[in-house]
Amino acid sequence: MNSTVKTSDQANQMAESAVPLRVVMPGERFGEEQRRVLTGKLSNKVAELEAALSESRDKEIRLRQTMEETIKAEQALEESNKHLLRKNQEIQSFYHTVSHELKTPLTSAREFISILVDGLAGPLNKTQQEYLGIARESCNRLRICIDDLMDATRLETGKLSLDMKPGSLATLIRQLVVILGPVAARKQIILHEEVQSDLPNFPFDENRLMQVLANLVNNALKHTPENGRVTITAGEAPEHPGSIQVCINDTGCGIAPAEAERIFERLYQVPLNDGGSPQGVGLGLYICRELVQSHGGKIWVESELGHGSTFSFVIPKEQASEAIHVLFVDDEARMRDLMRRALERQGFQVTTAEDGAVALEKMRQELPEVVITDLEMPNTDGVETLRQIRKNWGLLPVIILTGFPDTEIMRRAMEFSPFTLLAKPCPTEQLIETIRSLRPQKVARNEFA
Amino acid sequence: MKTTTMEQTEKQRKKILVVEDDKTISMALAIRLRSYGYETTVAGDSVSGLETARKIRPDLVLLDISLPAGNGFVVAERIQMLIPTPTPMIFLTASTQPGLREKAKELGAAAFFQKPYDADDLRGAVQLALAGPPVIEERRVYQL
Repeated sequence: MNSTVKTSDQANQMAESAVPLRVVMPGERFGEEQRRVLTGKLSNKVAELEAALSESRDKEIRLRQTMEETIKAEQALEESNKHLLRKNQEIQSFYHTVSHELKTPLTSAREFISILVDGLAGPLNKTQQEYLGIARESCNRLRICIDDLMDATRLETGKLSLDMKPGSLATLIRQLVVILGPVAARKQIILHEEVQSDLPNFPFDENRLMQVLANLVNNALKHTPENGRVTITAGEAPEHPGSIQVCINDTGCGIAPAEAERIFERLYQVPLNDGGSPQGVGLGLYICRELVQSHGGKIWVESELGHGSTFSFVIPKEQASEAIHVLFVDDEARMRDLMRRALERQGFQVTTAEDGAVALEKMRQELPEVVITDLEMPNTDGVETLRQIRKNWGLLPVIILTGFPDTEIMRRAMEFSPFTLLAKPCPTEQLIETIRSLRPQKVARNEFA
Repeated sequence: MKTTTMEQTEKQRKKILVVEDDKTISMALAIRLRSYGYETTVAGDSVSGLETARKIRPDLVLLDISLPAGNGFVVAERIQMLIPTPTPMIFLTASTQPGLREKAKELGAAAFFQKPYDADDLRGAVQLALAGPPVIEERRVYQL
């Protein structure tokens, strides 16, 4: 393209510079000198043009080479992605096997301890009872450790799904206090609950929320000295309307600000004040954070060294029914897979389609609230999809997620605006924020975006 | 072993079949179930599990899910085909593979336990399953 433009420019210049020489009158003949000058100039120009042409040819060759290299790099990337995906699956199944192989002997050990404790193999004296109690407790700790590892793996690979049902948080907290009461009593810690009396039922995953609560309260009990106090409060969140807030406050040693910032990180272990080695693998609070986030909430800690800590989390009251239904259209399977996992992990309901035709077919069956589409796709491309959406579904929010759209396709797309344009690669957070912003009428999930 | 528990006072002792490939776990289960007064038979794989079921017509089957030669679900389905009266099934598994609980539910299981299970909860589930039609789902148990 450029070379043609340049060539015609040069031709124009040449024409201009040729004109002022002199107008040749009829019958007049060019002098030898003039002809020579003119021919010289012409051949100079021709040489320049030829040079420009060959230069642009070189450029074209280089461009082609770059393009080929890019395509090769993309193919290599695709290959390595496939490889990683395969590895990921292998790791998953490896973890499942390891978990199974660890739990089977653990079950057996725990069972035989229980059989002894229950006196099924004859009466036991007090010391024997006590020792077996310790052994059983160790089995329980081991089980929690295995479960944490499995949960972390599920979170990493986006395989953790929540079972959201409306339930009573007050009941859950009461159960927890009953279960952990003896643990608190052993350290003469007052375990106390203050739950707002008219707390409404709201949807959550009972097992997972219990896991979060138990983890936080267990931690509080562990780090609170004898005769201390651990308080669980729950009620409407004062700073987050439409959400429930739970706080677990203790009178323990507190957490230094530098630690508090990192405490929810995966594998982070808080160094102990007495220089001892920290307990656990550093997954507990990380899992708590991920589980709270999967509920659409957030978790944080406020603490001062020597003055105890308060771990708080908020969870929106309305959300299970509010899971935003997103249709993701992209011809690249890897991209679809990636986005499905990322979005589902954030509580979105995700449908995917490999091209526009499939997308429109799926839209007829299940109406998504937001459509995210690539532009350049085989068969029915993004613009045609957009046109159909505008025709059949009016102003349904559409996000165009694309690499390097050329101006022509963008101009065509503009005819069917409005849409939000995001460039690939787009950070997941930005995409999620955009999706939520497109549904302003449903604020529950918006709160913590 | 002496059995004096209330389950035993029934005229006819209830029969439980345990299909579990880990010998130590099946042994522990048998010790427990016998102590509750149930007649307990143990099978270590799918094939012998089915054969034993055909022979003894158990009142309840306790099934591990991952078994040599076919999994617990297959055994459950075959037993249901084999025995005309509905036989309550309780599944036990150490596997963390997703979807197992749902599959068990689909098959009409009386209960579903993750290993390590709680002995008291298992006893409760067994009692309930033997008392009537399978009505319970997995009990909400928080092992902390």
